Amino acid sequence: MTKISKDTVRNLAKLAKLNLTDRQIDKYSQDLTAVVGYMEEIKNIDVSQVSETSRVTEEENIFREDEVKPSLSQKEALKNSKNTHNDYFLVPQILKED
Amino acid sequence: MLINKSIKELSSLLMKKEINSVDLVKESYNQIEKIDNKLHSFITIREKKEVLKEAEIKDKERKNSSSIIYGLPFSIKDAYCTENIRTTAGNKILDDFFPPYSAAVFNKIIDSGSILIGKNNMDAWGHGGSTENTDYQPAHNPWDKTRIPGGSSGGSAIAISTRMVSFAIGEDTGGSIRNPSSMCNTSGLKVTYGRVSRLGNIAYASSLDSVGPMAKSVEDLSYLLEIMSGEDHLDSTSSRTEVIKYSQLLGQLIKGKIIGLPKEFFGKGLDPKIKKTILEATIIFERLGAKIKEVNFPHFVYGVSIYYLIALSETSSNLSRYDGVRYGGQRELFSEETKKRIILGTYALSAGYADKLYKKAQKLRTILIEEYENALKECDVLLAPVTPSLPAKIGELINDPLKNILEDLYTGTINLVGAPSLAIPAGFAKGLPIGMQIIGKKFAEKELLQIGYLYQRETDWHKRLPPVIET
Repeated sequence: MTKISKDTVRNLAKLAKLNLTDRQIDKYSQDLTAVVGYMEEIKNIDVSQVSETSRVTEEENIFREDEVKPSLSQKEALKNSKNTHNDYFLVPQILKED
Repeated sequence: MLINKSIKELSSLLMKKEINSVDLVKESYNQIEKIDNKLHSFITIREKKEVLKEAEIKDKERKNSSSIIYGLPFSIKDAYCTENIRTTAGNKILDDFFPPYSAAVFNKIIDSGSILIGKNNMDAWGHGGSTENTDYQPAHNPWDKTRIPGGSSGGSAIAISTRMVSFAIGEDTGGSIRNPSSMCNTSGLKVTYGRVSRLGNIAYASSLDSVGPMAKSVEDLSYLLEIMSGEDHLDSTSSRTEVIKYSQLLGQLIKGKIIGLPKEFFGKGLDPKIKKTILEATIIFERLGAKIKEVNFPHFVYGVSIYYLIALSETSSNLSRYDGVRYGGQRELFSEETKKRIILGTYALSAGYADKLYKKAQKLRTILIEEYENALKECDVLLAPVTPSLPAKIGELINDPLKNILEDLYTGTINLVGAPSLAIPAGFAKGLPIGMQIIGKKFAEKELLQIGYLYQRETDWHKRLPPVIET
């Protein structure tokens, strides 16, 4: 049975941008091992002749005229942000100087 | 108690001026003030004074042409954006989020003149079937306060079952309307994917999320559905299929209709009391002239795995937008359950596992769809349980990861298929409600409502009120 190790949880948390405590990493490793262990029931089903389904709507290619229509004002768009500067969203620094 | 009356009855009394919306709103708040501190069905309740003023205006402006839901008090799951009214999705990340626009379904109900009382409690982001995974106090079942009300639209089902509101709008990704409807003895409809616009619904898993009505009866649901449904050019997955006057087509006989009993839904894991209740319902359907036929879904047993692999992959992607920049707080504020779901979804999508897990689940989704279609060639609708067990004790599910996901055994696959499903009360065991679901072909809401309506004419389960209500 696949074990979701603490290292795997740590790596996934990094990918998902979640900071987890050691206690959480330990707990999630146990809980997810149980759930993934259950899901392994699908491992041996043969699906080689089957295509994937990602959507169940029958609508496709919905087009509209490219017209300018009223939308949110700048004030409305910014009102829920905790960090703005000169009417822009202020984002945390991503690139760091060495 | 006025709110115990149907939408049709209330509308008629309002039109004749025998009652007014102010009375209804007062009754809503009385009920909330009396019992909601024990049940926690609301996250945000609107200022009473403001709502009473709104009701007075409704009473003044009521016309003969007003909608049937004009002036009726309702609530909506906190998963829907409501302009300038706090919208949390059950999580502190959005504790101070005041949306700049409203969900399409909310606008339709408001444009029809209904009066919003508040936003209902829910499992955060829809992540759960118990309304315990909420940052705004776990909700309690009005039939037994030591038990869960189901979820994730638990708050909405409680508010209807205790007559705090006339109706509510819920959301169903893997059972979130049907499960609490079943556990609180109310009626709820998971619509065909695309029947109602999802614009402004805070996404859990976008290929599965369905907007739907929750109410006291099938008749009430049919009025709501015809108001909510229809194409929306801002939701490209909303359907152009014609919206029918569902309420005018109720009462048609179901003589000769074939009701399929999917064998696998009645197998291992189902509480015998629930099985017995649903088999008793088949006797009523037979009396109404329907035929019962057993059908098969060989891959149904894998449904929970397929559902969770897809739903959690999608949610890990959908919730990546919560970065605390444009709105909301930091990602640390996600609940334990939600963090686990994000981690699992990230795992299913990560390099090396995506083919074995996510893509495989998508292929199995194709197989499930084919099996549903085949079964529905042999019969008109399917009849099935909603949940495998009676409402659990609070704390029981949230602390058992596997048991927690198995609650979605009978509901999740229907979202994978995109089919509609109606959950209605079917009986009781140990004083706790038991629901059943009637599942149909895509866009067959009309048939589901007709069958459910006839059943409710023959039975009175849906009229029973929880002990928490003093009558």
